[in-house]
Amino acid sequence: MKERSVRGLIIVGFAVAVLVVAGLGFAYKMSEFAVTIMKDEIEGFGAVAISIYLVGMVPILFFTLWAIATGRFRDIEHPKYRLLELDDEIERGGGVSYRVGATVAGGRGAR
Amino acid sequence: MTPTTIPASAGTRHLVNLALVRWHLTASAVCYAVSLLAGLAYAFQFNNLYPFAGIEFLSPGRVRMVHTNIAAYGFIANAFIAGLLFAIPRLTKRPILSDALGWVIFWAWQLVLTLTVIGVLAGFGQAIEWGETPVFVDPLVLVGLVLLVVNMTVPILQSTEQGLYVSLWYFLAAFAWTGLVYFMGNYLPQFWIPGTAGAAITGLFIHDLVGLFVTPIGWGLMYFFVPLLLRKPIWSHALSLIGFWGLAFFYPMQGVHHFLFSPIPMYAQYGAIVATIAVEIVVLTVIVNFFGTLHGRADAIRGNLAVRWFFTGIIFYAITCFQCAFQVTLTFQKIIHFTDWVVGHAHMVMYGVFGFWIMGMFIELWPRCIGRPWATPRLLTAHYWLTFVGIVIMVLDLTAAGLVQGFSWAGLSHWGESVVASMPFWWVRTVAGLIIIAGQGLFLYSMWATARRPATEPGMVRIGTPVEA
Repeated sequence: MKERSVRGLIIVGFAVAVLVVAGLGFAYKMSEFAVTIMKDEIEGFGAVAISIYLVGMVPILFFTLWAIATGRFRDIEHPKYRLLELDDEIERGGGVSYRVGATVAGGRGAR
Repeated sequence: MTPTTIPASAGTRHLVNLALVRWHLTASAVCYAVSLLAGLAYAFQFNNLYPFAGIEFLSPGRVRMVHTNIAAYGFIANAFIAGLLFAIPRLTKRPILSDALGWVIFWAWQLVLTLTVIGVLAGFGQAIEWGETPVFVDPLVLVGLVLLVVNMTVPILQSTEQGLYVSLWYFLAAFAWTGLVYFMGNYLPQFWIPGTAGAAITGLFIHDLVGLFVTPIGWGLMYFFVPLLLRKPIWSHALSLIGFWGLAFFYPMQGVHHFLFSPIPMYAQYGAIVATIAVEIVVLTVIVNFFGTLHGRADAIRGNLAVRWFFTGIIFYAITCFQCAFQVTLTFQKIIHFTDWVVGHAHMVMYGVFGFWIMGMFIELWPRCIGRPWATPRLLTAHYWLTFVGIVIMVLDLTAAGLVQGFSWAGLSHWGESVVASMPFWWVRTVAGLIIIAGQGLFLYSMWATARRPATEPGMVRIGTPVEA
């Protein structure tokens, strides 16, 4: 229980830190790029940087909205367990005699 | 046909096309060898021992471009495509859109690489770092990327899984960005925006190629393989998604820090510096998650070679990102700009991190693809240690060389003096390269020896899962 609450605190802390630190840093940078447009300095650079960013974000936003609409964020931790379940299902279903992680032992345990 | 897959029965397809994976891995290994040999030849140039002196077609500048381009688009890209071909169907339970299209992409990509080598050696390289692929090759690259995205995105969108694992998010981000970044770097400076603005855009291209192509696919594959290797879920999927959103929203357009002290307005340079340092918090989410996942399973570093490659890669990643936060400052740049420090940093990122992760992936995937266990585990262990020792020596050596050069220039010493002072470092770099190449020789031999092994062990050939088509 204690471990889960510590983990939760770390995750929230990182969420805030990423949003504030990385977000503000990024906003500052892009605003300075925008200033190059207004000041008409290194013509073309600011417009390209901002427009390419906006175009690139379109599919990211599309995928995000699609994931929300199809309920893929309902249980945020579920996919990490599902990864292992899927691996087991696929290995069993395919008649594969070994699974990821069992292929090579290395170093001292080499065989 | 090698006995690597059981034939799919009528009306079914294999979930993973292991033949495609195997061919991309093979192409990656071939490109790896070419890139290493080109790098070695270029290193000899600094020792006055260039093996192709006087041959224009193989002049050092062109051979260097072969080294970098074939490392990025041959070794790394082919290995990444192999990883995607393996991971995406297993995460979605859907095969790629079309196996036939997969083969078209494979051959198209090898054609791109062949034309790039020929074009660059013939003197048609574009004057854009990492974008030297000749102008006549660029359209083929873009078409190939679009086809690849279509082939890989469809199973993700078709997946009926409840959640979307973080690796798929990273892959989607790479799919969204890579073509756009390639277009930006290879077309805009050359045809529409020349001069200072064009140079600044090439800065964006260089860094976005690492940050929005190599990084998301590398992180995605790491998040896929490490939990499976450890048989343990990642520490926090929520944290991994925070890292993803951080990368997707705040990582793009970083590269102006490659052009500090340039004619780009200083306020834009300051913005790039601040944003670069700030984005390190995103990197930290990945490092924390990796070590949180490894917690309690550290024995795997000793006992499982693939885990060891991934572990060493994340250590290098932590070092390189820490280094990055400092070296983008003007204080550091005054000394290290244009020096071998930068070369050492680039090798640590592209080879020490992503190259090592690719090696971990090779260790896991190659036996699966050919239906035989590794024939020479001890050689693989030797390969790891030679590669590790080689890259550590190379990075330390180039970092030290960079400081010597930088302080020499800052002290207004004669240029020739810095060259003389650099000579011992360049010899050490060559020796480090030879150590690395010796290790890769063992690795390539291991791949070959494993492939020649009779596939007689029960179960080892039954790879590939039929699913309803």
